[in-house]
Amino acid sequence: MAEFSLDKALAAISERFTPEMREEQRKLTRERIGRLDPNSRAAKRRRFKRHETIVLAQIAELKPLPDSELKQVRMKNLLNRLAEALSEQGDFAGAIAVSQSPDHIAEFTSIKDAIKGSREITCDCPVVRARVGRDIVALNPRFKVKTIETREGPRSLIRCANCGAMNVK
Amino acid sequence: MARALEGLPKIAEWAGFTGYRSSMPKEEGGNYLSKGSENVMITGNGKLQAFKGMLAVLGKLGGFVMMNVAETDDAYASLGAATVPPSTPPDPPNVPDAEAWGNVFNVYACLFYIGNGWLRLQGEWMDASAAPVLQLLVKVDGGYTDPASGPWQAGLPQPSAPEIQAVAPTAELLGKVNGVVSVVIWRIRASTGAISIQSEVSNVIACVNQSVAVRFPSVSVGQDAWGIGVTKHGEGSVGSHFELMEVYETEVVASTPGHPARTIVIEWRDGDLVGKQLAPFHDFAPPEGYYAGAVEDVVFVDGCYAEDKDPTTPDAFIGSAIAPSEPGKPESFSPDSAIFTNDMPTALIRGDGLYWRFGRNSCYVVRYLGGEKPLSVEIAWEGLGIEYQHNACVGEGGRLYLWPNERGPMRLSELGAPDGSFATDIADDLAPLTNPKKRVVGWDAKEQVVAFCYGKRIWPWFAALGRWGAPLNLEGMIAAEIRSCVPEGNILHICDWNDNLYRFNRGAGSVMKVRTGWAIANGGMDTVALVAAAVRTDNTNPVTIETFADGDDVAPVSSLQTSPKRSGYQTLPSVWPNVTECESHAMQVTIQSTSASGDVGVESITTYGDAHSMLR
Repeated sequence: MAEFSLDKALAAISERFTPEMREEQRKLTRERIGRLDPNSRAAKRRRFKRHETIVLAQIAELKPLPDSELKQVRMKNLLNRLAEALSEQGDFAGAIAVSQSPDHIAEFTSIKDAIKGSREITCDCPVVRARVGRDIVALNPRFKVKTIETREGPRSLIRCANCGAMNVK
Repeated sequence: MARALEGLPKIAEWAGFTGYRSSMPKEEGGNYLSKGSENVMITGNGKLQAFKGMLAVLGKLGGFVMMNVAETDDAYASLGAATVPPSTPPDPPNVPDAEAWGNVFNVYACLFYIGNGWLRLQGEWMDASAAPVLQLLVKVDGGYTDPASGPWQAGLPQPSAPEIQAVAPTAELLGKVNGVVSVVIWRIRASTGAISIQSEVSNVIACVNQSVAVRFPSVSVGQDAWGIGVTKHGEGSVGSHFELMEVYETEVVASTPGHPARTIVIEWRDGDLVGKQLAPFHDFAPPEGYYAGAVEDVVFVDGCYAEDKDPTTPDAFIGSAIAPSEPGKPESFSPDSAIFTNDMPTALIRGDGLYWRFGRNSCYVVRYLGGEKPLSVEIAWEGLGIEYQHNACVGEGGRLYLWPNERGPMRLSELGAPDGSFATDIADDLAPLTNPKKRVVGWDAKEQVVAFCYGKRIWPWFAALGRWGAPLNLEGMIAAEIRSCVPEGNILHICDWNDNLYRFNRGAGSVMKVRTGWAIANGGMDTVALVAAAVRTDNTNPVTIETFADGDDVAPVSSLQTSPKRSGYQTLPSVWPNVTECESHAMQVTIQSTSASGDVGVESITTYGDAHSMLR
């Protein structure tokens, strides 16, 4: 039996994959790639909803397993992942309920409180003017921490770097 | 025997068998093993050897889909479990997986997995299951059971923006920052080098010979470090952010003394940013998918980007695209590099430095070519595919073997096309085997055998010899039908539908049946008076010699036993079937092998008797 040469087979495949076929693949990719925006709201919502579903299924699978240290480790990590998926969808109450991390619970609680609070600026910290070379720059202590999901849709989470006050608008 | 043979002419002789051929016409003579032969392997230069049976692997379990991983040489992992640990009352009982698919593979010190089904590594339960998102376990202290091991989802979410303040330099710092600056941060998983996209921009501050205190948000699950990006001095409101440094989460937790929790004090000069990259902005988490693999420094997810599909269809979440990661960043996926195909994947099989990607009616080859778009996806052929991962395997020299349909096995030819000519000898055997889920193909490098499995039978193809062994009958050797297989230590491991694992050809023997092709009478009819058989045996148990006549391969016309005088090579004491007036005859020798290391086989079978030229 003659020894099989994978290189020859691959060369033959490449030869059959003509420039026209490559162009067709590129065209197909170009047509569809433009629709992909993983940072879009729709893509994020879909992604985190799917993550929530997947993690819930994994928790349900893991729950009846015999108790062990490994099971506890896995369960804790899954619950924290679930909390993250819920928070990214704006369900901060749900995230607080399942999170196993005190830091995350504190963060989610403060965001939840901010959502409940006023849409307007909640602190009196002034905008400071600083000289930069010949220019005067206004330095606002309030800045956008991130975009969060709320019942009303995506909103900016604003935090004051001076006093720590947060609001959503 | 010389005395007995006096005056009896030789009618037929079978020696130097050329392999098993179930599809041969009966009128075609030759030294082949015909239908009815069983448990015959072929070794050396064509020597028949009794199949040694299966050796149960104790204490380890397989799964529905099995594949090698790079934990150690030839280590294996599986997805899908028929046997799951018992539940703890009052919890409901654990339910075994209905189906499983996907891939498990190593990248750096991590085990990545995707698909469906419970994960086992090297036969051990991992308390983790695959899903249509890429997940990973991080190796910590040589294992995957540490709290920091995960399982984590590949890719890290965008963090909140940091909060910064201009502060007096601490003891080790000089107060290098002057002007208006701002900061971004991103998450890092040091074990894989995974990074998230950068955060929103921090508050903008003005510094005068000061340092900058950066206060970090809470850490994400599976994250263990942070990246910090800063503007040039004076460009805090408008400037781009460049990568400045990375800090471990442990440093963030420790905080710079005298500052609030989770605060690190940093400083930089503009010169420190020369030649630095922009902070990451297209390092997105991998899209959902069904299969994934790694070639060189690129990970790719297959079956993704189904976003525009109707969610009510059964394949709603299976896309047709392949999404490669950024080179060297196995968890960073930019949508710009996706490659769309015309087919949804049904299997992704790792080959020698490449992947074979199957659809129901197609086969692609996924290769690493380097350059800006390092992943090449070429269609190998259309019109032929497989439905399950275990329908194909990679054999000698990286050659692809598959069993796509009842027309029989195929293999990759040197023309890069599917070739079924090697399997025409057994076409009759395989034609009735119509359930694709039961077709399992595996490679045993030790025996150089491609095993085509169905139910409890295996058709062994001896690739180096280019011959088929007779079907291996595993009835009584394995508990349930064959579900999947994987090589370990060059030995094929067969997994049954109860997750039990067995080593191929490493058992304590089997009952071998060597049936010859039909010898057609040269004249009109023969009388098979005497049969002489030369065998090798590892015991003195009786050997059965059966005679079939006139094309009837169901019921023998004679069945006689003879016992070897010792073990080893010998000519058996002759038997005298005295089958008269047969137009054709075939012989079957049934011999038992009873040890794992014994040498048992049939060397030759010769029949003697008178012939006459009368016809019926």
